[in-house]
Amino acid sequence: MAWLAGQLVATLAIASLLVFWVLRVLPGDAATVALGMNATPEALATWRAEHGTDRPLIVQYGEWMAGLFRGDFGRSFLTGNDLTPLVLDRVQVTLILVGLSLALALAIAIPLGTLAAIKHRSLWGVVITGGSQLGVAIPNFLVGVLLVSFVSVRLDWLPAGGWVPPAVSLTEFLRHVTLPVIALGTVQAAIITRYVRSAVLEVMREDFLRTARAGGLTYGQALMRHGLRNAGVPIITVIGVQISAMLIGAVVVERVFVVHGLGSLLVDSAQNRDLQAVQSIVLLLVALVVVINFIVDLLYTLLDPRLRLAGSVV
Amino acid sequence: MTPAAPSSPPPPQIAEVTPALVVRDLRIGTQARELLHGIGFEVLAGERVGLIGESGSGKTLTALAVMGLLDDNLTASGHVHVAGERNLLARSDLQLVRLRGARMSMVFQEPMTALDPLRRVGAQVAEVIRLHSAGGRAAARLRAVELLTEVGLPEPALTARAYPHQLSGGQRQRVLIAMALANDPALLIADEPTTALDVTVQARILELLAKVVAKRGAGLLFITHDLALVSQVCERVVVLKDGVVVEQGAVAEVFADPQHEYTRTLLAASSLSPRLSPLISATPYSAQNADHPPPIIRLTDVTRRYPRPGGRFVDALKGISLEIAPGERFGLVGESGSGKTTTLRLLAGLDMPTSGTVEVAGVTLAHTPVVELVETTTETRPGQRFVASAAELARVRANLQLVFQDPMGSLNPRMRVGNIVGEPLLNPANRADIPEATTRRERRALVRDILTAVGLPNDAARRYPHQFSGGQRQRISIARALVCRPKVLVADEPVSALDVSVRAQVLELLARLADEREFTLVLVSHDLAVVRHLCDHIAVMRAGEIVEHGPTEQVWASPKHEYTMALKAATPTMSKRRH
Repeated sequence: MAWLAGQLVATLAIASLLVFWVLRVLPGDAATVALGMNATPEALATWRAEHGTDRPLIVQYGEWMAGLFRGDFGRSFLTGNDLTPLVLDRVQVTLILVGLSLALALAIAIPLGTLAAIKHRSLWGVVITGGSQLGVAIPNFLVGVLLVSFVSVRLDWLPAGGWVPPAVSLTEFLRHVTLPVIALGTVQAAIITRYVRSAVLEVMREDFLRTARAGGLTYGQALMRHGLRNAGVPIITVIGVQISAMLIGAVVVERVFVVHGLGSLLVDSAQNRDLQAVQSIVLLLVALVVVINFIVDLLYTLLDPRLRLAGSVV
Repeated sequence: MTPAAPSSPPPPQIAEVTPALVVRDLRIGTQARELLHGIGFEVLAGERVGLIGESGSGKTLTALAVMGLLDDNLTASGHVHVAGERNLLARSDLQLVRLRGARMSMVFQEPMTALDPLRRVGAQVAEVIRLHSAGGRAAARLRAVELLTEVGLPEPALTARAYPHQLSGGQRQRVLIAMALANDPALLIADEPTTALDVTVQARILELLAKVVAKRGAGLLFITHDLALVSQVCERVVVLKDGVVVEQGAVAEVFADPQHEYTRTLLAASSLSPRLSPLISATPYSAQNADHPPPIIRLTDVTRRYPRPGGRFVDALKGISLEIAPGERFGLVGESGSGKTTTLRLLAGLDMPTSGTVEVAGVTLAHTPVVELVETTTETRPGQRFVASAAELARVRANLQLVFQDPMGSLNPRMRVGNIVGEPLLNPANRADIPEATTRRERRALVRDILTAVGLPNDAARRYPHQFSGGQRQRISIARALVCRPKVLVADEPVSALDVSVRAQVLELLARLADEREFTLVLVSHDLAVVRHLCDHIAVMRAGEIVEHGPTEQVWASPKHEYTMALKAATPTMSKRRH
């Protein structure tokens, strides 16, 4: 536990250094981008002094870190506005999108994957496996574009884009969020289905399922009570990896559906050479991924007693 | 043999006359072919019946058919009646569910994997209780602890809260027996319940099984390939071969006067008397040398300490010393955790000792001189460690070859047998002393010779491992080990995965080859009978120490150490009967 937490902190520290360093090494001076190619050297120097980019890197890094510890993401180079409320607002949107997509993906993948495993010799299993193969091959922005052109443009059932926070209007929120969640969730569902299927197939061959049946459980009961939890360990690993993939996938889906989330903010900031915004958002994404992996590691030990401290019970 | 225990409710009158199990004309097959050809037998209430046969004879299929747990691609026909119930084969799975775990139950072979690793063992026992009775959760918990007490687990209340991985194999098998007994079944099927366990643990589990079924007046169907176990546990025996019952009757009669040829073969193979065959001469060729040759293997004060998380450590070897003379057949006996495998790894140079000296075939693999610090204290402490170079290790490995326990797992399934056996010759270090192995054609001839020497057919080199039986695969392993003419052959449990009839053949082959090819044989085994059969010297290991060693017959006839005595007593033999 302490070991896991230490790992978490170390990973974040290394990631922050890397993000900071890479953005400084990349070509494209923030002052030139902000003032244009024709700015005088004096104007550029003034801009740099104002934004602090003329100071030693170590000082800049220290200031950035100190700010983050206070929950302050710094000021945008471009607009001069405080980034903190903006980033927090955007990250909410992205987390809602990713969270709902994950829920959808699991709601589809766990029953379908289990079914595909149980019926792996019959037509159903083949259909599900084939379908998930197709899903894996389709990129989620394509699903998004197709959804927009059919459901929104041709059928006019749901809006093609935009975002309404749930606090403003729940029905409007649901109308707007449905298509992006389907675009992001179904592709993940296809991927996770395949892993659920193979994890359940693996568990179906275990001796302890036979023991459970010999004790009087039906096949289905044995699978539900003993099988799924055992299949859970590999499935959770995959879910952890896939959440990270979804955070990245959200960047593209947000673009397709004109949702102002963290992804679109990141892309805009990068185009504008808004170093401060880019490094803060990237680090936030890294932090989210690292924290998710940390939670996955904790879940392992909850799920599997063999991974807890050995010999502490008896 | 049906003493109704006074504490349990008196069995209904019908139980006295209703057999626990009746099997009539049971046929099992896939769509393509029939595997079990109409077998029939009975297990009376309170009776212990052994079902014996080799792998593939249909023993386990029979058990699974009775339980209704056959694979989907297998179909069973005929009649199976448990405790007077209507034919089980004619009933749906939903109807059978009520009987499984209640009227009939089963204990499986592999206790390490038969329990759900994520749930406490007490909860797993309680689950079976609650499935078949109306009592609440708390009552089931209490009953589970009672059952764990009955099967002899230490601190049952605490053990109930343990997870399977915190228990030993023997303890897990006790938990599985408790689960099987939870609802006082009329029939208990035990499928090779002790194969995966140490001999001393095996003896206690068998005792427990006999006791609990006697107490309940239940019928026991005991499946095994080991006739000695049957003679100890059972009253009647059913002999199965290739899906047909070839003989059945009282154990005493069948074993004293077997009617069928196959039973006679099985019996002959099972009683591993020492020097069963004249082929096994056990005369070390070193005896011909008048002057004592230096030992080919010498371990001096060898320790091996493995670190464990949290600053703790395990002492796998606590300072063992032994010498093995060239041409000797040396047996290393011990149960799991005794340090056999660690010793073997040190000999093969796969691991290095923490301290002490390991010498094999004239090469010092590791050496820790003891330096006495005279001037200040009288304390001795280890000096500079010496470890053999890679070239010296290679020389040792050319002279010391291994045969492993699992003949399937240790052969690459994608390689032809000829390539598997010939592979050691590709290493120049291994063929340094074999001048006739330079060209490909010569090497192929060598492979052919050794395959013939281990008794494999001529076309074996072109085939793949899966095309051979277990015994033949072990012959392939032996051929691979011997192809570069090692001075020492170390066989790690070479026959424990094999059927009894095959076991004797492989042991005989090892003995014959040791005589013909004049190598030193080190046989590692948990089975005192196997070692006694083959070796002239033995060392008994326990918990990282050699507790006894000497000439085999001396150790066997008058064991000095109590552990050797316990091991000898636990070794199943045909002559011992438990009543």
